[in-house]
Amino acid sequence: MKPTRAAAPWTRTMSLRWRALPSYVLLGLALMFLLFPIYWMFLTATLHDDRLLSYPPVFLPAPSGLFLHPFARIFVNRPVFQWLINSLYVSGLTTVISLSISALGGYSLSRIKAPESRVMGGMLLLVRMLPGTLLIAPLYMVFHRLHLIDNLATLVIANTSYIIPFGVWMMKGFFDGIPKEIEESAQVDGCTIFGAFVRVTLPLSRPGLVATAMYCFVLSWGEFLFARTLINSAQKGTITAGVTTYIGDMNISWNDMMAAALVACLPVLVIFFFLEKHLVRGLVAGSIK
Amino acid sequence: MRRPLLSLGQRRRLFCGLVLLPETLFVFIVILYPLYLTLKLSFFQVDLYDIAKPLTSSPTLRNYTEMFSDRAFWQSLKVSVLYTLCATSLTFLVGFGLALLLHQPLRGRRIFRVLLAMPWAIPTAVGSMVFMVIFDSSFGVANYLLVRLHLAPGNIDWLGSPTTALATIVVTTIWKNCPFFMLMLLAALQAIPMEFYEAARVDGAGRVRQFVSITLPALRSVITISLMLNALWVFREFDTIYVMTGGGPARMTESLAVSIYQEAFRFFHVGRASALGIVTFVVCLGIVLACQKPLRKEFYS
Repeated sequence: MKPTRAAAPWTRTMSLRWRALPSYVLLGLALMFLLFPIYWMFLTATLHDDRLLSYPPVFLPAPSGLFLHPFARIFVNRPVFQWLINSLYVSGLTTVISLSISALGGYSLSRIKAPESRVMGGMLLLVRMLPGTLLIAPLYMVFHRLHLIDNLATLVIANTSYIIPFGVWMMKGFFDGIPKEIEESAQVDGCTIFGAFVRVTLPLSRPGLVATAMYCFVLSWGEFLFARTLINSAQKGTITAGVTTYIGDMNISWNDMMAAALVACLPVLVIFFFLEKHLVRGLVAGSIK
Repeated sequence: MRRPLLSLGQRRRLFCGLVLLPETLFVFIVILYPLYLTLKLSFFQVDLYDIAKPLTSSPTLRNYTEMFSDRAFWQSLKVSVLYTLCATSLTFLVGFGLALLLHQPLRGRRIFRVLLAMPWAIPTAVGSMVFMVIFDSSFGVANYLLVRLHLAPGNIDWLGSPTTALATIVVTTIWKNCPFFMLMLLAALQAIPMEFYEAARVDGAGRVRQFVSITLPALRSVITISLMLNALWVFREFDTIYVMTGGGPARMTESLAVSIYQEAFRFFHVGRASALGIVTFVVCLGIVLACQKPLRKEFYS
């Protein structure tokens, strides 16, 4: 990868098509590396039971059609459907709560330039670097005392705790891009301050809200450590923690395992596919301005 | 008209203070209190199943002295540092390369970007499972391809052998994290005004010169911040290692994050786990302090 050619500005002196050829080759290689695991997951999931350990491995789906039994089996063998519902519940609720807290906190950090706000901002940065594994033992203890172990609400609280530090910064970045004169003129025109926030500032920051919501949902969906530790019973697991229980289980074949893995990432992949544009802006707003 | 009790400016400030409350409460209850608890417990010998009982003994430094004289701790620290350095630098190079590629006037850039960024959305634990299947010692496709292309003499036990286990985890981490660098750096590249390059070309600067004199300086703070954020993530990465090796073989991949989990939930030594957590925290603090200058510029300006 020669960075120099990419950094060059758009030149029209040479034939664009030929100059771009090496770039397309490199992009193709990159696509192969990044998408191969996803393709392989799909391929293994649709592999016929008889061909499971066939050597050489199959690189193209069998012509006889796709073998879809694993997708049916996983819903019978394990409570995959229940896990999906649990994940949806946890991620949905986490998203609503984190988004509300992040929007309010981000607004505040964006509008007050007082030293206290800097202290809070610095604290959030500090929080962002706490390892999840560091918090897990004390969180377990706190929830244990409150008799909240094995309760999905616990996961919502734990997930929110590690999502809001970034969510607040993301929202702050978006609010920084909205001139405060707009809401101030609404306030002078007789809007209450809260009214101006809800009716003027929030609608203007819709792309930010979408980006932050998606960020919260994807992160919460993929959360593993809390889901693994704070939930004990199989019925209450999330899909991400649930599918990892296939590992090391001798009764589970690879196609079932990969079918479950595919089911676990399909919802977030679909969301990601449609909202990727917003995410880019969100990441940028949250980390750089 | 009755004069309001507070002026508009005062009311604005009051509102801003009020809306900060939920977040403040959350940070205190769910993050700072557990952090305080960790610090406290690191001075006690506590078992996970006794945590409901009040602490009776007096605080000691035993967890720390035992930890520092334990070779397993130094091993974990070594694994964590090695893993963080390798994974972050390689992921950065891949991500930067991808960002530069996508910054060109290519047809279908948008769809390329979406496809290349997809690993970001896949749950880390699930992605790690897929890599386990790919790198399986007997039936994995990685071994098949390497042997077929004569790049390896025979099947390699990727996750079972002490020399290759961490490397396999690093590859998985690169796959998962490079979209982050790609997206961040691409956005920053696109923010560089084209006029800079045009002016440089008028002055006769070649492409290498343009890259060194314009692109790199313009990206400096974004590079620092994304490197820092990624290093912090990798340093506390748990999912990949736990799913793929559980810290084995022979502790060759047991990072501090995995050690904390094992101490607390396998051996139930909450005190020792807490001491490990405090050390991890201090190292992370070190990483952040090392990046203080560009951070302050970006976040507080």
